[in-house]
Amino acid sequence: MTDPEPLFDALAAHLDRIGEDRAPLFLAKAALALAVALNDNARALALLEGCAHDLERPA
Amino acid sequence: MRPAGRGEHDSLYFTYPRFAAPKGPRGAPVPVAIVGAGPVGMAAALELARHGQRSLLIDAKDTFNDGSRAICLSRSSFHILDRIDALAPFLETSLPWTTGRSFYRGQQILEFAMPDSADEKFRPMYNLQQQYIEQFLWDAIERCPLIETRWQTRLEGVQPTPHGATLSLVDPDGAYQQPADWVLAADGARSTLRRLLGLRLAGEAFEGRYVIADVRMAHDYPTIRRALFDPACRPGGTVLIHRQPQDLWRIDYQLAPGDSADDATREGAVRTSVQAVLDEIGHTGPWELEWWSVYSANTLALETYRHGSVVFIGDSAHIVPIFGVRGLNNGLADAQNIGWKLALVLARQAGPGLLDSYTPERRGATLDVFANASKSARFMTPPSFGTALMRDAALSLALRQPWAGALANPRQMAPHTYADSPLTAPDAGMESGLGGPVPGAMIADARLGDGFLSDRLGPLFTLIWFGTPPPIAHPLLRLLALPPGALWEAPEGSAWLIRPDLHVAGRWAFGDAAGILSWLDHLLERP
Repeated sequence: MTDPEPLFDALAAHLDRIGEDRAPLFLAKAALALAVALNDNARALALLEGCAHDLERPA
Repeated sequence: MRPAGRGEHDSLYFTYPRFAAPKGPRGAPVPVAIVGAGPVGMAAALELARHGQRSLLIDAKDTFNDGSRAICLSRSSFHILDRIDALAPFLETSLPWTTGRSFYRGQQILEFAMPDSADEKFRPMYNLQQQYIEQFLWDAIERCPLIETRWQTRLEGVQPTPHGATLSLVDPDGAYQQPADWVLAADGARSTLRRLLGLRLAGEAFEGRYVIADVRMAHDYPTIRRALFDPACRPGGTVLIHRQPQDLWRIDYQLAPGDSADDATREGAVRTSVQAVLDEIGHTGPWELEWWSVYSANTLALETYRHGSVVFIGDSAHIVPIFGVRGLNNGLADAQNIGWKLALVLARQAGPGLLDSYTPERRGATLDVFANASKSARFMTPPSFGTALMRDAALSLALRQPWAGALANPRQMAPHTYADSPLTAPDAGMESGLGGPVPGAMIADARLGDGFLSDRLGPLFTLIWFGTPPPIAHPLLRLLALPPGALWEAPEGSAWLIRPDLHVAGRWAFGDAAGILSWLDHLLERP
């Protein structure tokens, strides 16, 4: 597995620079571009499905 | 709507004719009454006449529809116009086009070309104002002795009879009863016949509303459809721009969800909005406002297009969004489809069961449009937060990555394939590796010698036989023998049966003449 550290840092830096208003558009672009670059729709869809979990604060 | 001081038919460039009220006897039974003398009703009358059948066209108005409304005629519609012998003025006047360009925030993200080649007699699309479409069809009707037209004639009632229906009609001279064996309802989106029969359109309404405005201006840009997404002149909205003949330009712009249609269609608001679009595309010269209207992107259709002896064609049967340019084009295909079938039934060359194929074929085409329309609509008028965000993401990506631009491709529709129609033969070609058009599909045209395949087809059915044909004779069939491989890499002895509307009824890798003729008689329910 690749080292996620620089990806984490780069995303954080981009989001800081872009700001909260534009963050959804940036993240939507990033997700779509990365999913297409993966060149494996089944895997991309499964990863997206996984990311849709655990977005709420536990009760 | 038109600018203050101009009447409904005061066009800058088109003189609307005024048709007199009917004179002479009325009420004698007719084989076919067509309610609505718009483009679809007129095309149906011409298709019936092409096969020798009389019809009566009635319309409540005394002239054509106001405004330019539908402006895009597809290649398949040009084939219909060709076959009803109305083509010449369409070719002379319309503007052919193949290319569309999409822009996001002022930058081009996509240029697409619709399929075209020297094998095609017609270009993929032609722009022409609807009043010219109606004028040219009317010119063909005036040449045709089999069609009687009664303008200023309003439908007030319909009564089914054992052998058809009786229409209650009113003209300036009074009311009368008009019996007909068959009635074609070509009376548009607000169909009177639909209301009289208590029928309702079902489906969904999209959120998007557009103002469509025609302006006249000397504007230097080729006949290329432009789509502007999120332009400065309309933040968050979509604008479409089409060139039409006579220096007319069609500008469609989307209203924001909170905009009132009443406010947006006031002349001042239209002028301000149009000027903003023209500023955006760099037009600095003068322009004149010709006509405007407002439009919603609905997908609505009848459950079944035939109710006894009444058959719905065009907008009376289905309302589709503009983005796929299938409103009028599908209406014309409806007219042709019911036209040749009804003509054969009236001539007793086919049983009435032939008409049962009309709804599945043409409603199938409508449902196809619906499926594509929702794909287009999600770009033109994103229906939800998620769709809007992903639409913006794709458009923004498209500025640097061409694959994302393809998501904005408007998916102009190809003619529907009647794969599941009762008239489509089981495919006897697939397992033998036969190429060429599949059963149910509309054939693509092809160069043949000095002309085109479409010119060589008969008025009704055509059997294309590759190689030396067996002796075949059938009153409804023309035999077209071609050398093997002349088209579709067709092998010796293969055969395609082509319908009057250029759809494939069947194909056979090893044609068996007797079997093909018996299939033809079977599908026509010939005795």
